[in-house]
Amino acid sequence: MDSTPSIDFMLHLNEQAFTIPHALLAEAQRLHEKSVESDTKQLRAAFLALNSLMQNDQSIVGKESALASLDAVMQDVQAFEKKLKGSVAREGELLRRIGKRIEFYGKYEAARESGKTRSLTEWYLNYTNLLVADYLARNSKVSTLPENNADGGVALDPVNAGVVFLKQQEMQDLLDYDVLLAANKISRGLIDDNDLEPLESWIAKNKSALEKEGSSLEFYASFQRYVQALLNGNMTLAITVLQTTLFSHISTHFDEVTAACGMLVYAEKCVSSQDNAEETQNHTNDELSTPVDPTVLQQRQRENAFEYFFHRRMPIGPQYASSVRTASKQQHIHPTARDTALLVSNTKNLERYKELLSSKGWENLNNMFLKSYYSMYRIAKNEPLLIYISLGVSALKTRSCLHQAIEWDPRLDALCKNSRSKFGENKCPVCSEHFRRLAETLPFAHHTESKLFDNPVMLPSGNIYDSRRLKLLANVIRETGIMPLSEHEVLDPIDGDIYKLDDFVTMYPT
Amino acid sequence: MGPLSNLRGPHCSLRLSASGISAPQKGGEGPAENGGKLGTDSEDTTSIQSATQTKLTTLHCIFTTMSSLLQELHSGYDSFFVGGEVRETHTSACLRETGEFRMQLKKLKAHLKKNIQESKQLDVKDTSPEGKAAAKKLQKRYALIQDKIHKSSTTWDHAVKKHTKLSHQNLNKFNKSTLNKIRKYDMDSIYNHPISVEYKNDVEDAIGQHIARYHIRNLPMTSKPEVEQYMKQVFNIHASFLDQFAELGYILHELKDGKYESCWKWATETENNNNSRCIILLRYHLFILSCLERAKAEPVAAVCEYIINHFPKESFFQKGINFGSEIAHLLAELTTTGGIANLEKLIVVKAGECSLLFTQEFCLRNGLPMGSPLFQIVLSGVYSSQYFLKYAQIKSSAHVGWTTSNELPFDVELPKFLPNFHPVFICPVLKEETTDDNPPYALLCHHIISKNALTKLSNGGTTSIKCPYCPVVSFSGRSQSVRFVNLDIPGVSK
Repeated sequence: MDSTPSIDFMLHLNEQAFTIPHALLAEAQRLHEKSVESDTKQLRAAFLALNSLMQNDQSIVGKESALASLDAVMQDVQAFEKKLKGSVAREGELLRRIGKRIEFYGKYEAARESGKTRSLTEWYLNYTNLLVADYLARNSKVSTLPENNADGGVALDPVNAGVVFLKQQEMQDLLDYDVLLAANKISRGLIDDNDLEPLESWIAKNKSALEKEGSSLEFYASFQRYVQALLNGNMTLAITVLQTTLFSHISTHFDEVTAACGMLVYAEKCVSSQDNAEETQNHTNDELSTPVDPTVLQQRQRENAFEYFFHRRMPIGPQYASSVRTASKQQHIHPTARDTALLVSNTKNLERYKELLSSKGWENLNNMFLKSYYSMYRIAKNEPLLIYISLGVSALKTRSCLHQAIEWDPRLDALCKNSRSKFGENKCPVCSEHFRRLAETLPFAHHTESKLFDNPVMLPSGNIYDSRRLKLLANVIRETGIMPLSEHEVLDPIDGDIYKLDDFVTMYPT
Repeated sequence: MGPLSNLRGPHCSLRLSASGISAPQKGGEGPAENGGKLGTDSEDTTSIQSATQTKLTTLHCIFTTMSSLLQELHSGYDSFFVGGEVRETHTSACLRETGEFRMQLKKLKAHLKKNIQESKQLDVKDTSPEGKAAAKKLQKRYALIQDKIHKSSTTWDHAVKKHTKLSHQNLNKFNKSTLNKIRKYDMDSIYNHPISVEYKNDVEDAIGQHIARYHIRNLPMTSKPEVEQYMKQVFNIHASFLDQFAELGYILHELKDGKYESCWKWATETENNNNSRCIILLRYHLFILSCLERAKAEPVAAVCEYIINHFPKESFFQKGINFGSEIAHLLAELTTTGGIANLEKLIVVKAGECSLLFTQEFCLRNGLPMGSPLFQIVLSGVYSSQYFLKYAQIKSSAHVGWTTSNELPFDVELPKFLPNFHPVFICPVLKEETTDDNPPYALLCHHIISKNALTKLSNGGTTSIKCPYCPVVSFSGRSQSVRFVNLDIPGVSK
């Protein structure tokens, strides 16, 4: 059956629809096992104590104390039962997701087998809505505002546009939005608020899984905590983080730990020089048009750093002196205001520290977190919607796309009932307003065969149309009376000339 | 040029198909086929599980030829449930056993209380045989209570452990025997041309347009200002996106609730403009919906009278309506049984049919695409993902590359129901798509080749050329530049 993806392919493509609920079930099972183990152990001990009490003391006092013990144990059993109810509800919810998804893909198979275009497009529309919800759940702002439930209750769970869309589409069981929202919340905490707490608590919960995959996320989160403390001027906290956390990773992250130690010395200067650099850049923009030899500049920076630490000038070796002379001769560099400005802005070799202290650190940490988070659930790191847009645009993009629209005879606009639309408006999705810009960067589709219309006829203007539709247009023009046209005449809708049916030249495009 | 450079050029391409992969082959040499031609548009857990189960069982019955993978998923899902009539999971069994155990403890506690009361009432100084016997009896009962508590606690403990272990095993089994078969692709691996963040606003606008096109019907409100405010607040969609879809959305919203009046008004208002088959069909189905709605509240006689007097006669001979057989069945059922079975369900189905017909006609009349651009692109994306994944496999296993960065290395077969938005002409000589710089030229015999091919065959226009398809001889100077044009006529479907 043509190129419609098979059900097995769709299941492979959407493995996360089943693997995520399984991972969540496994997580719930672990919690359940932990609770069963500790609670039953406690209850077993309580029952043993009750048993020996009942065996050893059969006096009325003994019996009464056994009754009191039984009461206490029963309360524990009740508490355990309550926990179990929670586990059962969670398991039920996750199993319902799996069940609904099997049903959803079952419908795809039924639509595909039936060969009905309408059923298939309806299913794909739901699938597109699911991808839209996934994109919105990952990218929209998360709030915990109360949201009215269908049953009239009020939910205080985190929600965002994706979740609202999903619920209104009645597809909440088809997407694990809770997993996406959790990532979105931590991610927004990092990027928008520079808040490390949600990430740190997630790392604490998933420490063993992260260690298992050899992730350095914990180290980089601590590193960012250290950087944040330095930027806030909280040296005590910075030194505590350095001593308690970062030093313990020195064997695996030697370079980063040494950089952290260096930052302790340079942080303040980096921040102030960053400001100076921006200022100097503004003042000396015109003078800096000729680049300075990087080797000369590097050596000058070294000299300045040497002078900063040892309070004396750096001894210059003969080899370097000659290279500086040569470079200066070649570039005709003279110590000007430009050099001075550069030297001020690059007093120390602080570039690396500046980068570590910049906001890029948050972005890198966020990317690292998302990578770890999504790989834990085997979710695609990139939004599936964007992946499909990239593939879809390329598959549809022809060499005629994104060109200037055909200029139709303006008299034909009268045929459009809707005043906003124009005759022959291009409906190609690649050429549409919101996709044309991004489509420019994507490759064209590859065609090995022509894709044309039936009954091609050429008019003397050199335009080739479908003859049936050309005659149909003539009929519509005659019916509406927007211009006079006799029975055996047709209008070339582009150049506006009227031709006779005898002018039709049947074409044979191959 | 990379290792595949000799395979490509105008003449060659990688041929991937949905079912198989063939080695790089020469492009199609025979006559090209014309393109084809978009359709329409914490509660009680046990009850949730059983409801899902019932639906799944029904579904299972429907799909007799279920795919093996889907079947495995279905049986994997089934294995989470144990028991005969009352299907429960092992965790639910734990809960049930704990509940039963607590009830048993409650009973034993009552016995213990009674035993203590009777012990207190018993005269300790009573040394008569009856007194001794009663004391012994109480002692025996006490021992029995103690034994029962001990035994039931041990049994419960074992049961909870057993169910927890089985639940764990079930999960592992589901993972190993079912999920491992599903895990196959890494979607990130085919995302070769990532969409830059600079187009984020464009993508979000496209999403906004998609939501405006399809989602108004699902909103909890209907009035225009409320919808506009809600769309702006929740989805950050600008009111301008809603303009062209507002009427469509409101009517669909009403139809969803079985209210046909606004759609009927629309369908009759436009009657004079276009008496197309689609609008006649829409009016016919709207009429049936109105009859079903009336059957809910009005007496049978009144509904029958309404049907007889208001039946839209123009639809009687329309193809697909089958001389109004549906209306005839409705009338027969009403008169013989005095009502209509599954009325609510029928209304939902009919409202759905009306929605589809209405959407189709509305879009056609207003020059709107049948699907949103986002939907059409995603649809193409899903279809083409098969080819991209197969190409990625070939690329990694055969260590081949593709050097033409601005064109895909394979031909993607898109769904037949997706129209060709632009005519694509492949020059039969050079096997390349014609462009503005290299337009198609008609030879004297009315066969068409590209400008580049014409120049090459005629040695730069200096010699006559024989048509590559027929014996007619043509001349470069007498060949005419042509243009293929798709002609869409407003209000007329293809």
